[in-house]
Amino acid sequence: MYSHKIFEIFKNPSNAGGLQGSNGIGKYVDEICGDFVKIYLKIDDEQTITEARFKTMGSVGTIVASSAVCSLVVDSSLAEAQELTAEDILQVTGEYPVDKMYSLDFAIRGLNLAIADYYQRIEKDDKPKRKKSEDKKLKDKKVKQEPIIQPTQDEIEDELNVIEREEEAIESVEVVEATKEYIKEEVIAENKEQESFDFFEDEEEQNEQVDENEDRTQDLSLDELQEEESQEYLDEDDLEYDEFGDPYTERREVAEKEQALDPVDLFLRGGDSGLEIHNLSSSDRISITTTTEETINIKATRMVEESKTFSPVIETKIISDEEMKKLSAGKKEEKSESKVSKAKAMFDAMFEE
Amino acid sequence: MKRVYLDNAATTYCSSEVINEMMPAFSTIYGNSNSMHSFGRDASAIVDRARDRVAKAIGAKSNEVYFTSGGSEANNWAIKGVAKANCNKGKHIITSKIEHDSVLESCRALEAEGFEVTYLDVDESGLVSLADLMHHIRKDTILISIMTVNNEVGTIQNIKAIAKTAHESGIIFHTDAVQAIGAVKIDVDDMDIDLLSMSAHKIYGPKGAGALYIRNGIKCLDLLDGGNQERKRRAGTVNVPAVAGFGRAIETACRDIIVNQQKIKTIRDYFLKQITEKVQYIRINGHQYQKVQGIINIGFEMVDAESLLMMLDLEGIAVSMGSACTAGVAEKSHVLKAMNVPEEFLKGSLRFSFGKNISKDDVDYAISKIVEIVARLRSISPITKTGRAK
Repeated sequence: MYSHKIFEIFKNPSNAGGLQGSNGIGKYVDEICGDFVKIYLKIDDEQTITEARFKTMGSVGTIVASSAVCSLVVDSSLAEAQELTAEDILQVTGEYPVDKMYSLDFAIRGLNLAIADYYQRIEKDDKPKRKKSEDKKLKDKKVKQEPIIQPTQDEIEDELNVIEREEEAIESVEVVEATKEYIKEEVIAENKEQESFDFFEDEEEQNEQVDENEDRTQDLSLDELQEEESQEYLDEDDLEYDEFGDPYTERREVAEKEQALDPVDLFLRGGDSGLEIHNLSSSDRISITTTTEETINIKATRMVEESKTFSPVIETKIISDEEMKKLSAGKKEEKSESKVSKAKAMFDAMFEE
Repeated sequence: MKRVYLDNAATTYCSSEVINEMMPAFSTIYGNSNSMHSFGRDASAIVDRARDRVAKAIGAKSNEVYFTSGGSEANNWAIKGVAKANCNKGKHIITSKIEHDSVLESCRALEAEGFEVTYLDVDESGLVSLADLMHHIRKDTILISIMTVNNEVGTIQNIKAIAKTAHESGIIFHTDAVQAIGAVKIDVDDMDIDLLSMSAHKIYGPKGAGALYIRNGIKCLDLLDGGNQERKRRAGTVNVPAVAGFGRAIETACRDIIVNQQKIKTIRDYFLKQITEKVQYIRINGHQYQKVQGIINIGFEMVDAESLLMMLDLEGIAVSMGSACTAGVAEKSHVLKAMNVPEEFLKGSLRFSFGKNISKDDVDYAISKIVEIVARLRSISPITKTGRAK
């Protein structure tokens, strides 16, 4: 299929790898094929490209085309590089099979995106630079501390209303010990994810990004700050699929979250919607109190079926309607007393760890 | 440079027994098996002996076996023949999404002629669910076609249960057993199969020979019209040498199922152990234990399958991948897609299939090259494990 010359280049492609101190980085992902081309360019003040490297995940044709593009573009001006065509690449690599000509386009698009990125960075350079004393703080590479804003009474009540609604949906099912720790663990886990992010690649980028954000942080509330942090992570140079969505990290995050969730809680949250559980074991204890026998049978048998490994120990208890009303009234009293203290404990936990 | 062949699921070499069986049919007994004279009668005797062997291997009668040019022709004949012969009873066909292309394209051709086809989903390991099948059976269903062993991931379907389900509703059951012969013991009476497709070149036989088993009493129209070869069911001069080789190959394969599978299993387990230790971020696609020993389908993350395949080819190792990307149209492997393999592994999945002549040295060489090449390709790949661009 491919010619001998293409295989020779493919065995040992030149200009492969990353580039420290690059001014222009272009990423192109093809929707249909899934080929990923990333081109690094180092451009000096006279608008000539001094170095070019590539990183590609794709077929033979794409890798060879990226390598050829890099070797063609070195020591040429930006204007010449922007006029690069597929025919120029073919002169370096030799003939391509007709079916595979599309991979030449991928490499050229990567190059054009790198040049566009360089122009964008030039525009940002016009802003005033930071002082050196502030640079030293950033070298520690820790996440900056958020200003701790205590929630207002309204916000606390909003949160508790949400908890109440969720608990009403659960109705009469109780879980021993699981949900108490679950909330804490989830919040702790979320914070740990945020702390472990390292999203500064070069010092220059570091400066620029913090430049943009520091001016704006003073006037934002807690919610807006959190939104903005999540937006920072969506910066162009950090994610792969900035233009076309982010299948890899999204899917991984979702999978990790699902694994971290307690399986019993998953079932409870779903109520009668029929979520699947896979990890119930014989050490899980679940107690169900209802007013009719039918619901026990339905819920118990479904949980046993859906556990797929072991059957959890299920305690069942049938009570009359009056007793049920007392129970639920009792719970609401308990809730109203410890409402504020619960919420405070939650928020404290979030900011402690 | 060592040459290692790890693509036995695509085709195999002809064993020496088979070649010895085929040689006389080329220049010594070279008549047309349909002729009336002695040259023809001798050739016809060879064909009959091969037919007996094939029938014995699958537990059928000799007058139920018809030789074809291969597995694809047998699939085409079975599906189109049964559909058109029974179209007065109904026009619904059930098959699965992981079938071979010859089955899927035959079904699509029938759809253009007014038939209705249901393509069943499979689960993550490639198994068709009985409940799903039962749900889709209708009063006008006339044919169910599910392959015994999948060629890309090696999963073995629950054929007995599916055939029983089909016969309870009076539906004809066809199975594509091209990859199953020599790996799984097949008995058409025990498993209650009505039609079965076979091929010679996957069991150390020659290319160009295959067979279709049609149970007596099943209505099936002919595909090729013409002379009265194959009891007037399949026209065309019988490929006597290839058929002779096929008979010998299937006899040997069914005699040596246990020995071959055992040998291949030890080598394959060794390969799997080495590769899971030495290469990170891989996924074994397919069922854990309900599969044939010779096929492994591995997905490599952060690597493209075509470049990995070509790099291995430059080092002398032959493997195959299910997907193809030509003219900008990515045909991802339909089997892996139906099994909901995660996307990062879809693009980097390769199939390794072992034959009975594989040795430990070959596996060591292959593993060392795989490790080297995967590391090299990942170093020039812009994707990292943490999901962030380097």
